[in-house]
Parts: sequence; C-alpha cells; structure tokens
Amino acid sequence: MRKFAAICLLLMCIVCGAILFSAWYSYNSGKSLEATDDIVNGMAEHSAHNTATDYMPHVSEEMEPVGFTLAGVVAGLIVGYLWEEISELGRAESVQELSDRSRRVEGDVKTQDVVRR
Amino acid sequence: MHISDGILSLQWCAFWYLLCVPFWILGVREIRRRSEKDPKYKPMLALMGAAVFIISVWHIPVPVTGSCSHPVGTPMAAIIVGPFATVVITSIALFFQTFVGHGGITTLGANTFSMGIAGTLTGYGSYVLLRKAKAPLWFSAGVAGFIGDMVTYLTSSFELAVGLHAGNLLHYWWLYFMGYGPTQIPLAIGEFIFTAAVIQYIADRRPELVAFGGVAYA
Repeated sequence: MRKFAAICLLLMCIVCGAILFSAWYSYNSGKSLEATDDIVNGMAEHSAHNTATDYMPHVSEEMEPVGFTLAGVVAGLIVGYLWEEISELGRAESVQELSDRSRRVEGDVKTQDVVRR
Repeated sequence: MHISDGILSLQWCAFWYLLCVPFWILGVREIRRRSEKDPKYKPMLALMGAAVFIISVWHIPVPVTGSCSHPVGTPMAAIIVGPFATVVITSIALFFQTFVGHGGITTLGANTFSMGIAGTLTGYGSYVLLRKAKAPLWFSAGVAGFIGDMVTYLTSSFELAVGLHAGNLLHYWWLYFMGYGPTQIPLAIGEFIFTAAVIQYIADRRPELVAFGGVAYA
C-alpha cells in the first residue's frame, strides 16, 4: 500500500473512531445530540413567533445516508473515470504540453503501423 | 449556521442576497482570470467545492455539550483557491445543501454571507497577516481555520438578531450565539488542527497549489 493511501486510511479510522466514541458517550449520558442549527432555528422561531418552512424539496433524515452514499458512488465513478486526466493535468505544465504529448503518442502509433505494414 | 426558510423576513433575505452580489461578481472574475492563467485551477476549484460541501454539512457530535455541529472548511478553500472564488463555491455548496434539508433557498444569501463571505474573508485575512508577520505556514492556516469557523457562527447569530430583534440586538446576538458557541468552540479547535495539517501537507507535497490562493508558500 502506498504511504499516502495508508495515511488516509489511518486518518479515516481516527475520525470515524472519534465520532463513534462521541456519539456513544453522548447516547450513554442521555444527551440528544441535536444539531446546533436546529437548536438556534428553534430559538429564533420561538422568540420571533414565526415558523421555519421548507421551500425546497429535500430527502428525509432516514434517507440521508442513502443519498450521501449514492452521491459518493457517482462522484467516485466520475473522479475515477477522469483520474488519469486529472493527475496528469497536475503534473503537466500546461494543457498545451498535454496536447503535444498526445499528438506525439498518435504519431508513434502511426509510425508503428507503417513499420508493421 | 444554516438558517432555514421562513425564519427571516423576505426584506432581510433580499438584503443579504444583495450584499452577496458584488462578492459573486468578484468571485466569477477571479475564477475566470485564474483558470485562463492556469489549467490546473478548475479541477482544484471543483475539488474544493466538493470539500466545502461535505465539511459544512457533516455534523460531528461533541460529547461535552451533547449536541452536534459542523466545521466550515471555507478558510482552507480560500487559502488554496482564493477568497472570492471560495464565495462562489460556497454558494453552490449551500444551494445543494438545501436538498438535504440544510438551510433554505430564501436564506441562501444570508447563509452565503456568514459562511462564504464573513468566515472566508476573516479567515483568509488572518492567514495573510500572519504569513506577512513570518508566522509558520501551519500556524497561519490553523488560525485561519479557527477564526473563519467562529466568525461564521458569530455572523449567523448577528443575522438572526438583527433580522428578528433589531431593537434588542446585543441581547439576542449573544443569546443566539450561545446556541452555537459551546459546541462550536471544540469544533473550531478541530478545524484549526485540520486546516493546519491539510495546508502544511499540501505545501510539502505540491507547494504551487498553496500559491493559488494568492499568497506564496515560501
């Protein structure tokens, strides 16, 4: 395994572990784990006597993990499909250099064809 | 900092939208200028947009307070892709977050102002000042993360207080901030560590990427 991938995996495990521990500790302490956004929106509704409304359609809380998983899969497929191009772009000095290189590769293929014939 | 639809009056929603317009124009110009100069800029911008989307919707439980909240990620994005471009990608991220029940379409301007403008510019400003004062890169980036995070929530509280209780502004500003603050301080410390680590790592491996944000690594 590459060192970079190993570090990413280790970081992911640490972050997941910290979140799981926090959730477990809070659950055992009988705390609600409510989001502060919801708490403050609730405070604002209460103090100003108005009601939060949803003008945008959105997925339910139970469906959020499914939605995020789908988004992750689609994003992963797109990034994976384009990965060579993206990483190559990172190394190349410019797009011009990339196109020059692809032209050279095309030229090499044509030369090989001619030699084969 | 995701203020829901229906909380602020339409006049206040329009006001925050209007306040964002000049920053969006500057952001689009910055993106156009930098992507013409460097083809590597656009993929990095897209990557930062995705990072801001995920970081700012990711509720992390804080055991001390028994509630959860999220970091913002915008100071990190500002250091890498520039402050005004970050305003644009933050608006896009906030727009998509409305589909998972975070924030709202009428309050998009207010949410963009708190997270994309106030949080980004103060975080990035502190980074630039500290770099000019020859502070280490990791420390400058970490302070940017901490300040950007806290200022985002201070601004959100201000938006609610001024929009709902302008006559008793300070009292309600403090009250709303107390809804966020105790949970947000540990997360802002986490954002200090995260931003410092990410920027230092990128600077060690690909120093030219840190220079995208306008301040050279060296």
